[in-house]
Amino acid sequence: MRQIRALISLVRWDCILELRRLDAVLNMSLFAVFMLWLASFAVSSDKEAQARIGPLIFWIAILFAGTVGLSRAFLVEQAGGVLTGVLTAPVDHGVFYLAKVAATWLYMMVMELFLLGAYVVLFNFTHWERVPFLLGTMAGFTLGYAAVGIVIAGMTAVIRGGEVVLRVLLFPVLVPMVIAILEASESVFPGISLTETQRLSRPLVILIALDTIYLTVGYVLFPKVVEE
Amino acid sequence: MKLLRLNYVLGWALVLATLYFIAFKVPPAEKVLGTSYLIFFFHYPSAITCLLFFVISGIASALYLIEPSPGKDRAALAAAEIGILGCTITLVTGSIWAKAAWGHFWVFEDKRLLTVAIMWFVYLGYIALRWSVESPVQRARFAAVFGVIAALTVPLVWYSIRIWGERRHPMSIDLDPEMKFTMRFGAVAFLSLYLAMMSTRMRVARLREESRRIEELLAQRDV
Amino acid sequence: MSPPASETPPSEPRKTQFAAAVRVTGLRKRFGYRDALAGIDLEIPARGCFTLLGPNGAGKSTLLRIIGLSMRPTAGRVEVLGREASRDGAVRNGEALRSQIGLVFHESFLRGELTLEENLRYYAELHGLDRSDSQRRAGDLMDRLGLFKRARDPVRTFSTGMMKRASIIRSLLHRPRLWVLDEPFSGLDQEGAGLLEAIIGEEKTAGRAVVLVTHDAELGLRLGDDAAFIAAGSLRARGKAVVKEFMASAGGSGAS
Repeated sequence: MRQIRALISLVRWDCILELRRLDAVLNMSLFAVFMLWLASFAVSSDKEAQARIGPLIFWIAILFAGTVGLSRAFLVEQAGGVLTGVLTAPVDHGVFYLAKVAATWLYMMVMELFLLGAYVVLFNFTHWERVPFLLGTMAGFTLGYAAVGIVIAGMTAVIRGGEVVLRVLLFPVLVPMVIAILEASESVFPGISLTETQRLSRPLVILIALDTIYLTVGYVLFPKVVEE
Repeated sequence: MKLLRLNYVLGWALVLATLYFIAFKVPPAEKVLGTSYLIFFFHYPSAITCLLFFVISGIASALYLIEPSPGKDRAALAAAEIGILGCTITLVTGSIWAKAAWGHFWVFEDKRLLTVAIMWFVYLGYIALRWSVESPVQRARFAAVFGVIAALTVPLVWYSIRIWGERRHPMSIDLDPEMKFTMRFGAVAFLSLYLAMMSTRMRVARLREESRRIEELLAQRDV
Repeated sequence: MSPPASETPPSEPRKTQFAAAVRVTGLRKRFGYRDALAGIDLEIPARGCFTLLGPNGAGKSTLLRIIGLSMRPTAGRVEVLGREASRDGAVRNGEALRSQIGLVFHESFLRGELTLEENLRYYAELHGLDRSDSQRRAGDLMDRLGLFKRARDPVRTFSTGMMKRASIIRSLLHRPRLWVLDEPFSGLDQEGAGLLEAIIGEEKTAGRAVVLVTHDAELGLRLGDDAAFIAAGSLRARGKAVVKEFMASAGGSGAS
């Protein structure tokens, strides 16, 4: 269908733009890795504290660094009135939303891979068999994050002091997702044995359910955000 | 106006009746928690009604997006504000209760309390968003969009905490029929009072709108 | 420059029979407490150039944005190219209509970091145009408007005049049935203005609709087959002769 081709086009061009300036991936990654590094300072000597604090800092770094990607998603559409240009093209505004979510998800996943690398180094994480599951939860979390975040960022991009309001609005709303990944984290980071399959599947199922809800709601709400 | 006044009278009367029940009809102390549990009869109704008002705000927001009208916008705002008020009461009573019963000001075991705390932040964000937008039409539209997201968060947070909390220490109180009755009665009392407050708030908003419009018209005429 | 072989973009069935390019009834647009448009009834013919004149702040740009589907009306009915375009109509018919409308507004809609060529390819993809056909058309338009040598340069290096020419190319890429121009001559030098006039003439001859807003009343009335005058959000005069008379009696307030 034409809308799917338009979707692929939009994501492709967003990536082309990003590859030229790398302002999303670079800034997010630096921010996140630095936060992790700073936190590792505090627990460098205490192995037990490392195991407990490490995962928390990992997710908090993603939570905060992600807002940079969200802001950039709309910063890129402001010069030259490009946003109006896209909105007056024959592309469904919901499809435009999905394109933004997909692109933001991509950049955040790249950032998270860097962060994971940093985590392996700083916190000596060697449970390689858990990495696939961790990657799954990261992907699921990031999708929901982008789905809600793009709707909110679309609003805060055009108001005064929007940067601050973005975080005030986003973080409380993400609590259900944070709860799900904290539950998942217990299965990934040291301390829990992996034999309980139910423990693994439940947080993933919850994340998928939340993602579906957020994407659907976002698809419906976003056109209202960009309407004039 | 008369209806509103009646509503207020009814609301306060019901709240007083609840207090009466708390003071005289209900056992003075519970097995585990002692006398402190009495505050629960304020805490629980507050929690339930505040969450209900958030849902009302969300419905008004959704209706606004379907068919915009200033009335729906005012309803969404008023319901959100009353919800925040209810949240604050819930958090304060919850804190008092926690201190009296367990010795610290906060307990993560109380699912209701946690849900309310998170929703408190969400809706303070809602108010912050409204303050940040200058254009009235854009403000109403953005508030409606976030209003839907915020109201959606109520069930999501509630169930997330419930599912996660299963593995923590569950917290329950044995309730005999008299307590249950008082609890529900309290909920109705608060509901009626809050509804009256919400009507007032909407009326204030409407009057403020009208006075602003008149000011604008006068200013244009002077020019 | 030979006209392209096919005039219809790949997918949507076009409504070829409609009485007017644009028909608005009781159109109102409110910003805050102010009515930018206060109840406009206007019909723009299906073919030819229609000029919209009026002082600054009259609401001309607002009207164009509503016609161009970039903005929704507060109240009233809007019909573009025979399809309903107010509120829900804009949602339903949005894509079908937007593929037939070309816009030249104050903003260029072009991404500074991309080259002219890339910008045009971007919009061609958004419009779902055939790749080789749109490439050829883009080349023709760039050549026509003297930007062929700058095709590989990032648009942020363009001057105001070149930006305007580039914007014109972008708006014509998908062969719009309705071409909406808001002060298109601003920033253009004499050569550019001449080119634009020629293109407007061609669109008229080809039987398409052009809506033109310009502060240059003389130019607007020369190019326009029909005209209207708007001030303070209301329609004051309709029809070239009436507009001329209105402007003459009002002391030439059309040019501002």
